[in-house]
Amino acid sequence: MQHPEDTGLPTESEANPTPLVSQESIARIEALDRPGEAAVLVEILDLFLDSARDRLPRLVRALEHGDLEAALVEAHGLKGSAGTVGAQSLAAACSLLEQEARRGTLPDGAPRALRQLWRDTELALIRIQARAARGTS
Amino acid sequence: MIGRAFEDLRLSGSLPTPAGVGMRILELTRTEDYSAEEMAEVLRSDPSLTSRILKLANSADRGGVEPCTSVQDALMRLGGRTVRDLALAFSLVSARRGDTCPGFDYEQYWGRSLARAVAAQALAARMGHSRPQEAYVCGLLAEIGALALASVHPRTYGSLLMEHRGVDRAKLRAAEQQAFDIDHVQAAACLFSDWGLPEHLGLALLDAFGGSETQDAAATTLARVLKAADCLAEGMSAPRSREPREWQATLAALGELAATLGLDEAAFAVLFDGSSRAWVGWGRLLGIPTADPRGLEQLRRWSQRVTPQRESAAGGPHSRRAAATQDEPSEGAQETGRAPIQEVSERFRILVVDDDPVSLRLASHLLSADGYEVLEARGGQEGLRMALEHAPDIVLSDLAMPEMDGFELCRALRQTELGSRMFIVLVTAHEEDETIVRAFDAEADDFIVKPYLPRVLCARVRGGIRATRLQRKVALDRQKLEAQKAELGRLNRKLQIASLTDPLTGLPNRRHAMNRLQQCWAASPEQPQALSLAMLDVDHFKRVNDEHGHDVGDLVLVEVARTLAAQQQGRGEVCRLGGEEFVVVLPGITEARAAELAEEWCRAIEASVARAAGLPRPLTVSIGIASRRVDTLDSDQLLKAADHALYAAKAGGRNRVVVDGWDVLRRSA
Repeated sequence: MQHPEDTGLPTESEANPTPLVSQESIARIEALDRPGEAAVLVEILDLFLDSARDRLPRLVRALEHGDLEAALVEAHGLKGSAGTVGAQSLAAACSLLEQEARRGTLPDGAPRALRQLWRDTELALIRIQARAARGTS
Repeated sequence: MIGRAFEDLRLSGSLPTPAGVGMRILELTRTEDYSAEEMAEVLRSDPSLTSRILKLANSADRGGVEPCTSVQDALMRLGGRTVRDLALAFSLVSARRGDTCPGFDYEQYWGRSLARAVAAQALAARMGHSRPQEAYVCGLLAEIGALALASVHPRTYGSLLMEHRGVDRAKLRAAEQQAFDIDHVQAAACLFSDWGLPEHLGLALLDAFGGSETQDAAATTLARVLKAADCLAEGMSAPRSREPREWQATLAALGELAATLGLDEAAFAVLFDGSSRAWVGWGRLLGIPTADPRGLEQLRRWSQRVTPQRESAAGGPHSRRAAATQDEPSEGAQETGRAPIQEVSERFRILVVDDDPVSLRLASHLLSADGYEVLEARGGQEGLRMALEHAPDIVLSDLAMPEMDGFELCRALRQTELGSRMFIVLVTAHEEDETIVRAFDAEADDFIVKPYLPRVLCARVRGGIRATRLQRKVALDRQKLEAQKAELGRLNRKLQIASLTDPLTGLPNRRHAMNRLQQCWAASPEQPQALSLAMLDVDHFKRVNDEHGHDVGDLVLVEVARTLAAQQQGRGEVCRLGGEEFVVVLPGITEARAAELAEEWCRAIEASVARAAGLPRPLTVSIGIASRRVDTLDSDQLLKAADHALYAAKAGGRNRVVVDGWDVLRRSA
């Protein structure tokens, strides 16, 4: 098992309390690999990226239209799967949005921030996935 | 006789019984004054049962009628009685557990029964039977007697089935009669009446499969439907890999059926193919493995195919099983195999329910890595269906899901017999007290907050496994206890019979005679004349013993007993009081008639016993008769009067019948 520090990924400095992607979570998923079988991480990240690419535009649309109920559902769903793959910043942002939506308020500028955060997260995950795919082939 | 044999089966305590809601409905409807609302209430508590009833209500629809969408609709459309019978039948299907009879193929049994039910429903209208749902119930449960015998006598019935594999049904029934005093059709009819199903259903069964014709018009029509349905069901469900000549026989029978129904080839093919497809759909709904849908055309091809010589051509039990596996690649059942009753199976099955594919797959990978068999469902509805179909030990369900969420899934599962045994873990994203309380309110066993650490999930699941293991052990212990209880019940019954039977002649003994006399006495207080008693003694019996030995003496007693019993034709009951003395209790027989009968017995015994026992001289008997009079105080007095009459017959020179014991009694008093 790799130590999180050795990954050569874009760093999330200590200044940032929630890292973009938790290396610990990634390592735990990698630990599920079984010899001779496709990397679990590659499959899981595929699933996550696919579902997030569906969900994120829905969430953004809900935020833009002030649709509280839809925003709540989408934010909650994205929070769950992001947390599962260790995309912690995204999960934290969704959690925040979920709470806001529950209170009946949606912060201005959320859509833009969310899009930015998603681009970073997506990139980080794609890199991790590519490395995992190389590692097993 | 059948009554007593069925009582024996019942004593075992392991007869098939409806599960959960089925049992509640049975109890509710035992009284006549239940309301439709009460019944709807009970039914609603089991969603899977409700959906099955709705499907049946709707599948019978022809043209234009709005489909039923609620229990009330179904009750209105079909009537309370029919819904009740359906609920009962379906809950019997879901009650099937603990497959303990080694020679009995439970999956094949239910597959065939379901095929028969579907075929009966389709045929009912065509053959002039107005209630397709009734035909369905009757088809589904037609062979339930076999299941009953397999549950009560797993070992004996298992080996009986092995021995009689491939023989026709009449022979199998004869063998069952011999072993259990009751055959599977009679047992089914008894169960039907036990469950309060309409009487003509049982009569139809006995007529169609039990070789006893009925006069009841409704039963006759239904019997014809059932016979035809069974023929259709064989074509639908027999394993594809049977011998071509077996298929030829099936096709010939189907051809005859088509002719009876007045259908040409094309129309009959529509009927057959449609039934086959409906069968597969029902199988999915009820969790019963079926073959793939097939058409008449395929049957024809199979009947013409040239098969290479196979070792198993004789079709022994193993080859059949193998063939079935090959034919019906249904998951689960075959691959896990049936665990023998003595062992607690250590393979655990977990169903993961989550609408988020990421969490679903990850949990699935995690648990597979820990060695569990994992099933995945992408939502509450699918989860419910799969849980009832595959009976997992543990259900791990996400909370927030569209349509049916984790709470609802949990509650729905807990309403079913099967689901109430599962260990349910709810996965929640909030660690709020309120959510946790709600999870336990929905009767979840445990909860876990996500995102979770893999080891935490595995630890939680192990907790569930511990509970499951314990539950399995308890179930196994209970099964063993039940088996012991059944054995004890049978033993008791045997002892009871033995204590009332004379071992030499097989006749009831003195104790039974006294019970019987007492019963008859109590049963006819207002018609005191209608009870007579004949006491009989073998003349010069001591001489037979002295001259020919005790074994010949015994033979004489056996012959007298047999002759006497053969003379009764249901009129009286012959008992051996002891020694060479017999008594015949004759309820409903007047003194004059009793005397006539006794004369006949004397002649019959004189004509046959000596020859049968190899005696040189004819053997005769003396008989004393007494009948109840207005002033007879009790049964003891009646017995005494008969005894005195017998004494008078002896004193008067033997080989005679003396009727009026009362005078003798008076004189001696």
